[in-house]
Amino acid sequence: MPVYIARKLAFFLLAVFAASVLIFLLIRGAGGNVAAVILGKDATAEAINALSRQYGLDRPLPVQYFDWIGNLFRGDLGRSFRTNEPVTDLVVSRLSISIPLCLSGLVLGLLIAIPAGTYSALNSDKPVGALIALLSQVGIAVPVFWAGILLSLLFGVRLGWLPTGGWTNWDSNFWGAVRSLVLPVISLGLILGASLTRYVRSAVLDVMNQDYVRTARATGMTRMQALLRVGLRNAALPIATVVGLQIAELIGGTVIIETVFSLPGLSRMILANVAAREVIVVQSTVMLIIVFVMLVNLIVDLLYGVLDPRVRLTR
Amino acid sequence: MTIFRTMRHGLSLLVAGSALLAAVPGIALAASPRADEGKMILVARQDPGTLDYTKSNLTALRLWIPANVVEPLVYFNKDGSVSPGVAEAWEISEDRLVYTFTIREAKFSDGAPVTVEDVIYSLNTMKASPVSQNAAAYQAVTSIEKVDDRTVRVTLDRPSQNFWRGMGGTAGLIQPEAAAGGIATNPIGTGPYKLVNYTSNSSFEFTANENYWGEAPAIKDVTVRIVTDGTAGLNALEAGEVDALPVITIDLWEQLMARGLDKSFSMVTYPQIGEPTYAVFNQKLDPELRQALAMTLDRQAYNDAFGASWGAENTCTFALPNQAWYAPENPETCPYPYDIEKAMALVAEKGYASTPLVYASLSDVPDLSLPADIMVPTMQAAGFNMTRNAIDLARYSQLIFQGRPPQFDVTVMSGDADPTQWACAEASAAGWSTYCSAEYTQALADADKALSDEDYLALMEKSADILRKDAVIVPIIAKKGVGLFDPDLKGFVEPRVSVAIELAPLHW
Amino acid sequence: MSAAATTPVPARPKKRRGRRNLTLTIGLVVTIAFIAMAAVSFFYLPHNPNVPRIPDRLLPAGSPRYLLGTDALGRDIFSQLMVGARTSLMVGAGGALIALVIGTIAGLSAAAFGRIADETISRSADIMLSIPGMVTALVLAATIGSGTLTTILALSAFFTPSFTRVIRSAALSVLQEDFITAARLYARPTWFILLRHVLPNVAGVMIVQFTLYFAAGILTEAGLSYLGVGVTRPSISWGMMLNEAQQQVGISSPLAMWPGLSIVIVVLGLNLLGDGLRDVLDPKLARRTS
Repeated sequence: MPVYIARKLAFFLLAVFAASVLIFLLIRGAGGNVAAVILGKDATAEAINALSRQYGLDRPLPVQYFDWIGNLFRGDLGRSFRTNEPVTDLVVSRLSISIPLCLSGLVLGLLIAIPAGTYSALNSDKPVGALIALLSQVGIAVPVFWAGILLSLLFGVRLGWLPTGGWTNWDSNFWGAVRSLVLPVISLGLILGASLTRYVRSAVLDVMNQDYVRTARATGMTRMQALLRVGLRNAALPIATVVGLQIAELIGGTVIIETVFSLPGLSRMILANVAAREVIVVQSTVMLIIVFVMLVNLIVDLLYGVLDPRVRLTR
Repeated sequence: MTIFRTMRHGLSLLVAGSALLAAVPGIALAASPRADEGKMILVARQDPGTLDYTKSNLTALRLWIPANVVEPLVYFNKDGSVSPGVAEAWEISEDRLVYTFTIREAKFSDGAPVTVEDVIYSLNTMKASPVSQNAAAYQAVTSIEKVDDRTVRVTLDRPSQNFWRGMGGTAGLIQPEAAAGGIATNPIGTGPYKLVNYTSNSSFEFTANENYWGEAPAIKDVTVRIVTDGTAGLNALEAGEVDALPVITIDLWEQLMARGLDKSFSMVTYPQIGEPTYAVFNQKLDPELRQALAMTLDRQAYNDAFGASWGAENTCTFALPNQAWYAPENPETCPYPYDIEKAMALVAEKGYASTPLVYASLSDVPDLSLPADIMVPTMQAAGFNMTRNAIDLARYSQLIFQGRPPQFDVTVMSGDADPTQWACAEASAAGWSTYCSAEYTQALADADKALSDEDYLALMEKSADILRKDAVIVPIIAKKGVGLFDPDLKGFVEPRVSVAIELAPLHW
Repeated sequence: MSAAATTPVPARPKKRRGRRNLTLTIGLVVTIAFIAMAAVSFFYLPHNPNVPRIPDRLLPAGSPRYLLGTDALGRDIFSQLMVGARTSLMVGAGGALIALVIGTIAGLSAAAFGRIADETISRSADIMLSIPGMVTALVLAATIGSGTLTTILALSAFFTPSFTRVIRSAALSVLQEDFITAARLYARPTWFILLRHVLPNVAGVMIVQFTLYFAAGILTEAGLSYLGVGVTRPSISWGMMLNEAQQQVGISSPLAMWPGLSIVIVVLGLNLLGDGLRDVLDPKLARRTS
């Protein structure tokens, strides 16, 4: 087991390095120059060159890469060219929106998916089970921005209960901030819940058809007892994988819901900074997300080893 | 590391997130709940990213910082008179070559006194500004010097209308030298408000400046919320979450009408913030080809497409209705009026169908992609061999604004109505528009040197006529600024400093 | 296995089989209608969906000559929906197909060709998976310009690694089965075992994943185009139509309903088809549930 963990850690470091090169090349390959964006349409070439030099964007790419990665190792994420704000501050202020949004969305999704998925799997022959399966199918088919638009139309415009968009800071108005998050979280949670229900349902169905569950049932347990005693552990494996996969998409992928509701979250910050070619902001923020997601994946991987000894042994 | 502390902070906020599941009671909205608290919330559509007005010319920045936070030396009023700003008095020599400004005894919002050194520093910074419109005001300036502790003298080598007008615009904004380092996030000035906080992509927060030299503003705390989604902004206004949208871009006018918001809120239209929308035909193209392209522009169709006749005027003149040389679309001022049959005949006669043309389209700006949606199919229908190349702002900057030669045959742009931006001394120095005309540039230079307002106007009209006939910069419509205010929020005045929305006159 | 073949198996309850057939039928009908709509758009459109007709702008649904009305520039909504179906089909199927091919090859190789292959492929997939898909799409759109091809590339880039992962884990669990051990005892070469035993056993997973990703591709493309970094005119996408409707006329307009509804119906149809097909095709599942 320690060897298994050590090997995982070594690959983790290698992967972080590979990802950093990849993201650096991707954003640098996009062309365009933040200096030109700042100076606008009437700027002279000399002014742009001067500003690029000041920002160090005229240096050879390998030099810029090692400069950036060296600063990262020292814990310095760099600064925005346009505002001179440290990236750390930018990220921290955005995370106070993105983390509650993603986690509440995920929790709401799981709160919907686990009972609904399990129930519909155990009652797949009954109309209610089929209804849940159908609802989950419909939920998966709804684009998250359309869900957001419809919810905003109903609760924001027609009923006027909740803000239709925009953001109030936690510090200035706590409940205002909570209210700003309600509709985005519900949109995200419903859509996530729908797709997770499908995974939970098929994982449970799969497990219920395994021989060990049949054996357990042959000893007189009910379907529910059998599921709880021997099935759950096995059903948890694919569900954990799916949730792990979702986190990557969630952290960076809430850009649409943030756009619909005008929330200044992390992924909208990335969107705006890609358009402005704020290369340092994009590189550092994306690296942070990548490292975080890789950590989650590492943990899921290690959990695999704990949950399913067969996986550990075959390595 | 702070990040992890924040993540923990975020986790504790999750508790709040879970509380979302419980219904949060809605607040019943009467008039504006902020009227009694001395507050107001406005909506901005765009995030400037930086507040450094010496380096950036973005409208998103010029809307809020000048006049409210940072003041110019003087203010030009709507009726043509001039009021004092940071300069409490001024004297202009008869030959219009020497300007003497007496600086007001006032304090900046950070408490530091306004000194002659600060003024000289500010003017010199603007003189060296990479933003050409700022630097252009100083073209005739030979020296900026201290006379005594309250007096600054600026000497010109020729009379310049641009210099004097610039002192009432962004080129004349005065900042403290000591605080210049923080200008990108916290600009300091002598205005009625000071900036408390700016969170990019989120909001500006202003509060009354206790060191302001004039009368304190009626509303003490002002929040400008940045809502990039236009519909979300209108929704917020309708739901009573915000009190005004002082700048409503053209892409929302249709919606505004459809929802009847022009009836339930007070609507203002004003030219300053408006922009001409114009097609640009690369000057390297054959002049007759450019004229044929110009004939495909049905100005009324572009105006109709935005769905609000009160918001824009059809024009062939590169100007806004508040500029004296402006003229609405008419036979005298439109050398190549809309005539699709004639354009088709020209294409057939001259064989233009064999000339491949690239239409560069800025993909992430709605009020430019809508005209493109009309222009490209219409030009194709007239027989032109046109391909649409959709690119984002950074690429557009690279290929067109900075590309030499710029990579386009046809494009559409919207922006500042300043005609001097097209001045060009020689063809090799042509800007992104590719336009260069010695005749036009000379007419502008003559106008700048004009000693009387009549001469100035006559020469500006002459230059506008040259621009129209050359069919490189082809104006389509002049959009006006449109704002919606809570009916109880009164006192809006038209911008005096460039496009800045003045917050101080607003009151409940 | 042999027991199931020889002893009489009680027939599946009628109700359940009926529901399965219904699922499959609905899915099939919707998918065929969708593909037909996209195919017809190549030969016939009521109007050119890009040419503005300003005098006809914002006509309501049911107007003469315009079945579903017109948008802010007087362009026919129904024609735009038809061309939008074409885009969804190309982008969704294209992205999922590329991901299917690469993902299956990579996933099977990772499962069967030893630790080095597995670690290389799995770690590469992990790295790609940990880069948020939206970021890949945004940067790609900035690099090579937004458009249909970019969107397909972006979709396949962020579907391939998860495809690989799913196929790998499905193949791994098949490889644990006794009959594989038996085949190994007969000294069958690895590629033979993969083709003969593993592939048929993961085919169900592949089909389900393909339809899921086809549908997800349509959703993602709509999202990207909604953000303005996906498909651009003269191509037309349902997400783009939603964006234009929201920007120009407002969310309460029926213009925002048609593309939204189209997405929901088509994605639902594809998912139902995938489910129905799984029940019919997946031998493992069919055997165990019968």
